[in-house]
Amino acid sequence: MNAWTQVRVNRGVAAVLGLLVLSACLLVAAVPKVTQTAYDDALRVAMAGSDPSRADLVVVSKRQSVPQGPLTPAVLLEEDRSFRAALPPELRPVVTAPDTGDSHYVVRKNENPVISVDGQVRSYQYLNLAWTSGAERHVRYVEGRPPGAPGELDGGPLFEVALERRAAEEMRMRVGATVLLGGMQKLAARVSGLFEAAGPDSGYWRHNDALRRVMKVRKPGADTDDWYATGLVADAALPELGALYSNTTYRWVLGVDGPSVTTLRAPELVEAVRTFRGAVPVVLEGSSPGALDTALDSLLQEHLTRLRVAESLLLFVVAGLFTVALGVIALAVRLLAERMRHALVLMRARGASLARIAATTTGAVAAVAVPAGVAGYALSYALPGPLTLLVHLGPLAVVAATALLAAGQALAHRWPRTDQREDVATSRPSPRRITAEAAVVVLALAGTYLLRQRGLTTQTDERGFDPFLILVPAGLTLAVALIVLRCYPYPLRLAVRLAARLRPAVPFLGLTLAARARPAATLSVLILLPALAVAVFGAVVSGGLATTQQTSAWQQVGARARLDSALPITPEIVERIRRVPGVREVVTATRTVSLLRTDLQRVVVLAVDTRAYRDLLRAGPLTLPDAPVLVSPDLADRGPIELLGPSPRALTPGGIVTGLPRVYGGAPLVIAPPDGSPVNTVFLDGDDLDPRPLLAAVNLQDTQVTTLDGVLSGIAGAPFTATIERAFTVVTFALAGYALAAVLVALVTGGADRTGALSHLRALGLSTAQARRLTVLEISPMIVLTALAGLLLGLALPAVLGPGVDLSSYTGGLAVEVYPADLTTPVLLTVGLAVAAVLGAFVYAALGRPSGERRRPT
Amino acid sequence: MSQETSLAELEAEAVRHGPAFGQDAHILCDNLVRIYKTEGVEVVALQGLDLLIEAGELVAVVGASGSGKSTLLNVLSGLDVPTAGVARVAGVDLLGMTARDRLRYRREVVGFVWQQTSRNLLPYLSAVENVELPMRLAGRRRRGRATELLDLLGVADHAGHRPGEMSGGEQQRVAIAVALANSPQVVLADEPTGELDSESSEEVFAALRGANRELGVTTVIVTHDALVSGQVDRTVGIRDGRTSSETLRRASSDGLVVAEEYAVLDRVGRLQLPRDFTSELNMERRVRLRLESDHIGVWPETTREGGGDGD
Repeated sequence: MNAWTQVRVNRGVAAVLGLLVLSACLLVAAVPKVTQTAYDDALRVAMAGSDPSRADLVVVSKRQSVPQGPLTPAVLLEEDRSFRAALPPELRPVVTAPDTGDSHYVVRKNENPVISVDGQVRSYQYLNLAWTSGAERHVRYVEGRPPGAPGELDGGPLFEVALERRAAEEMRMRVGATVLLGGMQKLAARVSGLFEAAGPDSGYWRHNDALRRVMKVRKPGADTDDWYATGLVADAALPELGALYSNTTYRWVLGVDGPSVTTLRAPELVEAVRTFRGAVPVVLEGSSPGALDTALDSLLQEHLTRLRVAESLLLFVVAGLFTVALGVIALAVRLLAERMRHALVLMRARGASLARIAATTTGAVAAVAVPAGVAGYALSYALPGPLTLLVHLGPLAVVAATALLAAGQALAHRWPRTDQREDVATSRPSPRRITAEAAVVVLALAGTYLLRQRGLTTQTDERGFDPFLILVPAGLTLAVALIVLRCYPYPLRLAVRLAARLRPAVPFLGLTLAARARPAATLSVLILLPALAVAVFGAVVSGGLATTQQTSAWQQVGARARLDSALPITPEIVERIRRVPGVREVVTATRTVSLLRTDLQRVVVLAVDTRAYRDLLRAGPLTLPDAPVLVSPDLADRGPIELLGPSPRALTPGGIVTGLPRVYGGAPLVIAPPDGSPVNTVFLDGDDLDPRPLLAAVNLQDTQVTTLDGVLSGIAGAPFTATIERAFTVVTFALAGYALAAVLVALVTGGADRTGALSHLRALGLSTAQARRLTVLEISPMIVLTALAGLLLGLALPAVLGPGVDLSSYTGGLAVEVYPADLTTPVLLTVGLAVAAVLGAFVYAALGRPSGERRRPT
Repeated sequence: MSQETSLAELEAEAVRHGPAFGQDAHILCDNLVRIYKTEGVEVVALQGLDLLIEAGELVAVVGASGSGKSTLLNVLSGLDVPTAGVARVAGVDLLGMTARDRLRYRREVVGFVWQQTSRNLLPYLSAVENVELPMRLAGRRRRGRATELLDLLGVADHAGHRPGEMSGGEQQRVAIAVALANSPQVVLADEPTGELDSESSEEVFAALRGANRELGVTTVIVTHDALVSGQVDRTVGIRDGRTSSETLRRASSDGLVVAEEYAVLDRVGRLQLPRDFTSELNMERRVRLRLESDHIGVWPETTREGGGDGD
């Protein structure tokens, strides 16, 4: 029989099925695409945020002998090519060509002490000589001219160098100055010109920061900084520079093109970097040892570790979504098969084989599911993202599963009939079924126990994703669903007994009908429960993340805003801060570093009025005990402490402060009453605190303002965190939609039976209004009880998965250990969904045929 | 001769040489038992039913609701498998069929007509398409066969009509055409006139009888309709899962149809006495039997001496 005829005849149900398949395919194809894009964004941010010297591949070689031939740019380029030839194929596409992007090469002669400048003796100054490829593109001369070929001075080479303008000022070296350099060889330099960096944000300048700044280094045991400046030499000076082999470093920077490094490539890139690291010493044969200096592999590995956690969580919710979507699709397929039942029974009776019946059902379902699946798949192309295998296989799996579910419907048409008759009631489930259900419950509990015992994410680096993480919650959900199915008639029967004593008949009848629900209703329990559980889980994790991020931010700032200054903050400045718009409260403090007399341990001392500070912290999650002297937990058992340093003090701790030590990098913290030292820290409370007016009010050098909102947006706005939050929101909404659809499809499926029962009752005098109430009462207990079970399961799942998923990378390093007791969102979600489902039932009942009878074709 | 022969051996010997029960019958049910068992609840739908129907017969099966008529029809149509006994239709053993045999049986041996007109036909197919459906399912579409059948059943005018455009009687006649589409040897009809008015019932029954006579199809009609049961050659009554009575009709010499009702004696000698007979004579639990030269006399337990004419 033509499948389209069946679709045409049952177009309403077919449309519902089509919509469900379309949405499922779209979600299944779109979620991996979008998350993959977010993962790549996260990687890009991580790459961009890190120092190029970490992300790029840098081959560093310290030459200890004179090169065989004269050193020229061509020789260095040739060596650059030989490194590129040794690159594993996976790395080649992500490395930029020579002298493009970050790629360049550098020769530096370091540790050249300045003896004199224009005859004036200098101390603690060094002038390094550097040649870089493509330097002319990155500098703009502001005085003098570019350096030229080297000359000779007193038998030693005289290099012409160009200096960065500010560095030259700092080093007091003007254009034309002759600098005599010490060291093993006789060496001199003449400043030919001054330059400024062109495109100072480029990777080139981040690699060669020493070229534009005076580096101040204090050597161990010294009491004065040594100043290092670097002068740029010309191509013509390269052979001369190459001849100076002591303290000479060669660097070949193979720039990595950030955007072409994607999450999908990351695992193979990690391996490739490791391979290249092994290959570099082989390429650098000879007496010049060298190595690859990069942190690209560890950068990618860090990203992959964070990714695994995100994937685990997302896979869990997406698997939940997929299961629920398939469940609702199964309900719709069942409804369509039920609508086709008459035709199928007739075909079977007229000699259709079981295969023919299966083909007819599958054909009709496929006629809807295939175009819908293709549409969903096509729609997913509207969203940006890479086309992974999952993007193609997901929709295919949905359509295949739908077709399989349709084929399974043919089983209802098997011959001969089993030992069952519709008019013989089944008193209780078979022992086989009870044993199977008990086995599922026991396995789920055992799995939960094992999951709690094992740490899962600690091993994801080595072993990848652990399917156990998905199986256990799925098993637990199934177990709870089975328990609900098995047990929900009991409270209902109690309610039936109570209702039997009431005068109105509707509650009694409604609850009695509910207590004897059909399989269609039980299937909707199996869908509603995981839908709610995953939705509540998502809401709880989301809420938990948000709260922990807040706590983490408070712990990092110590107030709504904090002002740190290297210079004393005078009362006038404090007064100016107080007048900044938005500032409500100001608490001043003095932060110093002291040593403990007992073991010379370094501690941070925060001299602050604890009472005022406690009042300021009222709005946040941090609490301070009511005592003037507080210590961090690591100092708790020491009793009275004595501090050394500029202002020695003896203090008796009155309480322990947790959380706050993170403000100062987790070092041991002592909070003590103010001792009159100059204020260098200000804690602020207020609304919409903006760092700029605060900095303007302070007007001191080396002052930093840290705001709670700034830190929080840094934590919460990270691509990974945002992706998880967004995915949870989308999945929660989708699940709510599916749960509602499940209830409605279940209602429609049971419609014929319900209409029959209502028709009988209406013959006995049931009014239309009573019939509506009866329908709502029949469906409500199942929804309410399932919603309750879903809520409880959703609240329990984080506790089950808690040890398995480490979310600390999404909360600024703070572990999400205990989920908040704030049940508002989950309860609102559950109640909202339950109410929507009951309203759906009511609307369905209200829109039903007033006559309560199904018209037969005549 | 000292050779001793046991009773069982003698019986087996007799069976071996004599004709088997219902050997030539087109439909044979011998001691048919069907028990539905679910979780300790047993429903005995057929309890040792015997039935013989010859090829080409038109038989009505009557009985009260729950007597086992539908179970018998389900067994005969191959939808249900008896728990014990023998069931054979046109030489096909219904107890030992594989799935493939069952399908072939449904396609080639039996045709079926249900009570509900809507259940027999697909509402979105025309009459001729409905008749062609079983042929297409069996993979042997014969052009003109559907039209021929519709013509035979007097609904050729409605060949292009859908069921919704025909009356109940016309729909049932199309349904008979559907049942006959693959030239079955047996047509089973479950109360085919149950939903029809008397005029339409007459037409439908006439169609069934016409098919029986012209095509020689053995026809079994389960019915409550006295009009139908009164017009067939043989009416089989079923009570409590057993055949209890048979009514035979024959034309007398003066042209009138004479109906004679018989009680059914099964192979082990069991007999169901009509309930109104037993209640009339207060027969309960035990009766007395006396073998006479040409009949067996049955008396209530309380009667001291059975009169010679007391049977």
